[in-house]
Amino acid sequence: MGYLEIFDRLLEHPNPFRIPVEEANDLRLELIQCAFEHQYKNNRFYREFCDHFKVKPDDIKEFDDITRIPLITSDFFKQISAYGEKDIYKIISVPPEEIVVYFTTSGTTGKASKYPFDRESLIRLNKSNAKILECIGEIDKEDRFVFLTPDLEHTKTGLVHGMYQSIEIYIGDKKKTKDQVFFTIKTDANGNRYYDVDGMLRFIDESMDVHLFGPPFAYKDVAEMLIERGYSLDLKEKRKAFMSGGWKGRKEEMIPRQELESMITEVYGVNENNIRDGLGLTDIFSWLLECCEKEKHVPPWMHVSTRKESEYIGDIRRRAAKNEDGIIAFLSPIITSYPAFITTGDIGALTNEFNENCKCGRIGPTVEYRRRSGDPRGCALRELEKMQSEVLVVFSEKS
Amino acid sequence: MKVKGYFLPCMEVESEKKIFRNKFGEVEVEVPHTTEYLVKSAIERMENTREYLLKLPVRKIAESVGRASKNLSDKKYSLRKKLEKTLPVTTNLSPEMVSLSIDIIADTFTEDNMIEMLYSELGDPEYLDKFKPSKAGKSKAFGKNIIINVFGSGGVPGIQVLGIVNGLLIKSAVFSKPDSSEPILPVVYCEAISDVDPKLAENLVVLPWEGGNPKYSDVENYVFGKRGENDAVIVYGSKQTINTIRRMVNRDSTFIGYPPRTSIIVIGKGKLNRNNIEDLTYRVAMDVCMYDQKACFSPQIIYTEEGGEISPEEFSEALAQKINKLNKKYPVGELTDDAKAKVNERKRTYIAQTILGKARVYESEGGVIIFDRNKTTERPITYRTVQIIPIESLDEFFELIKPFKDDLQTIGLEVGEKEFEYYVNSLSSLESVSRITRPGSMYRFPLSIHHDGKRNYEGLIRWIDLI
Repeated sequence: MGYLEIFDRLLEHPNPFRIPVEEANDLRLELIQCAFEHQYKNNRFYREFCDHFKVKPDDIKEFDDITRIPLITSDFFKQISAYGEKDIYKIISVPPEEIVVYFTTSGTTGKASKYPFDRESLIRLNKSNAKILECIGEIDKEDRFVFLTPDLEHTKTGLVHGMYQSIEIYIGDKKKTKDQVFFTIKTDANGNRYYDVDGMLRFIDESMDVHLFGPPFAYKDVAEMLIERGYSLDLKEKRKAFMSGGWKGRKEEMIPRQELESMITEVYGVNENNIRDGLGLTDIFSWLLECCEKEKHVPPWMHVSTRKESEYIGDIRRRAAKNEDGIIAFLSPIITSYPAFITTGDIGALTNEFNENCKCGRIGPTVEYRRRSGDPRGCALRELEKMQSEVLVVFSEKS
Repeated sequence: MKVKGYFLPCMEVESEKKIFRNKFGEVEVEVPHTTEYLVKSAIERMENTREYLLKLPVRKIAESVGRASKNLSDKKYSLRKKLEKTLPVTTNLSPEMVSLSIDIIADTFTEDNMIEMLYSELGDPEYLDKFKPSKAGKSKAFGKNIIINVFGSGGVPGIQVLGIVNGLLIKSAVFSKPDSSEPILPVVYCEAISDVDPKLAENLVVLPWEGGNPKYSDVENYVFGKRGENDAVIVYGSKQTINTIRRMVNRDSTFIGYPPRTSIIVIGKGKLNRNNIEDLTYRVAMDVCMYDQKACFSPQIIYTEEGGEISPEEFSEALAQKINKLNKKYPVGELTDDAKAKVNERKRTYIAQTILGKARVYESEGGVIIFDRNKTTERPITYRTVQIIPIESLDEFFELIKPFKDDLQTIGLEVGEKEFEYYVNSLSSLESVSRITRPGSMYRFPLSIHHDGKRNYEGLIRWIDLI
C-alpha cells in the first residue's frame, strides 16, 4: 500500500515530533484518508458500519473531517473475541492468509480482546513504538535498562514485550539488547517470584547510564525494599524512570503519583522531569510517552482526539475543546489488518492542540487520560485515579 | 432558586454558595464549611437532645414522621415545591420523574407503614417504649445513640429518607452525610419533620463534605473514628466507599454497608403471548424508566424465553415502543457527558453487532433497547439502556447469570405457575438475591421488606430481658 511510504518517510526523519505543524498535519491527513479508504474497500463489515453512519472515503477531504470516520468500540473487539476466530475473520482487512499473529489484551475489565496482525503491520507497529521511545524517551543506543518485571519467558504482558521490542529495534542488535537489559523479577526453583535487588544493584553499579522501566507498583515494591536496607542510588542526570501499566491488580496499594515520584527521585536517583509515564492504547498496541513536561505526545502518524456527544447519542464527531473532558478516540493508519479506528469510553483531554507546540518544543497534540466514563450509580467507576489498561499480549499462532 | 444544603437546628454555621446547573434550571445551594469543631458540636448537641426522643412514644414519632411525609404529598406545600424545583437539577431526573418520586416517598413513609414495619422487625413497636411481655419474660429494645448515615451518589431520591426514618423510629439521633452532588432531599425531609415537631427534628443533622478529600480527614476521623459501642455507621455506596469508611470506623461501633446491586427480569415463554404483551411491556417499561434505571432494583437485563407466541425479538420491539410512549409521561432526565459516553459506547458496540447479524438496536427518545443474540454479559450502564437476551431454556438462564450472581438483588419474575416454584427455589440459592417480584413491582415495595436480605434493624437494636 503506497500510502505507507509516508510512514516510512516520517520514521526516517531524525525527529518527526519536531517537523512543522502544517506539514505534520498534512501527512497525518493523507495517511488517515488512505487508511480509511483501504479499510472501507477491503473490509465488508467496516464498510457496512460506515454506511450505517453514512460516511464514505470521499467525505474525508479536510483535516477536520477526520473526526467523521466511524469508530469501533473496544467492547466490540472484546465481544467478537469471545466467539472465536469465526467472527474475528469478519473484521480482517487483508487476505486471511496474511495474518501471522493474534494479539490478546486483557484490558481493565478482565475480558480478553484479540486483534489480528499481518507481518507488515506488526513491523510498522514495533518501529512506531521504538521511534516514540527514541524521540520522546530521549535514550541512547548504549544505554542500559533495568526492567522491574519478570523476563520475557516468564511473562506475557505486553508492556514488558512491547518495551523490550522497542529497545531492541532502536538498538538494532538482538545480542547487544540482551546484554543491555536486566530483569529484576526472578523465579526460584519452586516457581516463586522475587525481586533480585542485589542483582539489580550490581547491574546499575556496572553501568554508566541506566534507565528503569516497570509498572508503578513495582517501583514502590523495590523502593520499599531499598529503604528497608537504608540504601538509595545517587542522583544521575540522564537516568530515566519509564512507567506503564497502572496499578492493575494492586489498586489497594495505590499511592498518589506525586508521592510515588518523590520516592523514585529519592530512592532511584531519578530527576523528577525524567520520570515518564506512558499511556497504553491497548487496542492499537501503542503507547504515548511523556516528555520532560509530563505531556503525552501523539506521533504524526496517529490521530488521537477527544470527542463530545451531539444531542443524538451515537454521533461523536464533535471535538472537545482543549483541556475539556471528552471521549478518547484514536486512529492508527499504520495497522492495515483491521480497522484501527477506536473509541474505548475512556475520558481524557487534549492538553495541546494539533496546531500547537508543547513547552518541550515538540509539535502536535498531547493527551491526558482522566478516567473511565462513570457508572451513574456512583460505583467504583467514578473514581478519578488513573487506571490504565495493561496490555497482555499473547503471541498465539494463527490457526 | 436558593436552598440550604445542610440541616443543623439551633446552630450557626459559616457557608458558601455552590451553583448546580443543568437543562432543568439552576439551584444555588448554601454549602456549610464543615469542620471537625462543627461536627463535634453537632454530635454533642444531639447527645443532649436525644432525651426528648427517648421519652417520645414510638407511635408519636411515627405519627409525626408520617405527617411530614403526608405534607409532602400536597403539591401546594412549600417544601414539596422546593423539592420539585431543585431535585431535577441535582439528580438529573426529569421534573415529572421527581414528582413521581416524591409521591412514592409520601405513600411509603406513612404512619401505618412505619408501624407495620416495626411490628415486622420487632414483634411490637412498644418494645421501644417500655418493658413488655415477651417469650423471654419481659423485654425492651434500645436503638443506637447515634446513627451516622453516609449516602453515596446515585441520584435516586428515597434512600436518604429511609436512612433518616429508620434511625428516628428506634429513637436514635441521626447524623447524615449526603453525597455532595445531591444534598437537598435529606435536608428538606428534615425540614418537613421540623415543620411537624421541631424538637423531634433537633435529633437530626445533615452535613455534607467531600468524602475522601484529605482536607476533611479530621472531620472523618471524628465522625467515623470516634463512635462508641452504642453508635452505628451505615454506608449506602460503592464497594470502595464502604471499604474505605469501614477502615475508619472504630471497631467497637456497628458498621453496616449497602453496596450497589444489579437487578434483572426473567420472562417465560408462556407469558410471551398477545393477550399479555400490552400489560407486560407497560410493567417492564415502568421498572426500567423509574429513576432512569439508576436504582439497585432497576432491571438492567431481561431474559426472555424463546418459543412463545411472541418472540424475544418482537418483545424487544414492543418494549422499545412502550418506553418511547412512557417517555412522554416520564421523560428521561439529563445525561451527563460521562453517561452519554457509556450509552454511546454500548450503542456503537451493538450497531456493529447488528451488522454481523448478532443483535438489533431499537432506539427511541426514551431509551436504548438492545436485543443480543450473542447473550453477552455486559456491565449494566443504566439510563434506560436495556439488554434483552433470548434464552432457550430456564436452565440456560442460570448459566448466563453466573458472572454477576453475587451482585443480584431484585428479580422480576414473569413465568407460568409450573415454572414459578422452580425459579423461586433456584434463585433463592443465590446468596445476593433478596427480592423476587412481578415486573412492574420492582420499583414499588412495602416499607417492611428486608433490605438486601437483612432485617432493617439488624445490628442496630439491643435487647434487655427481665426474667
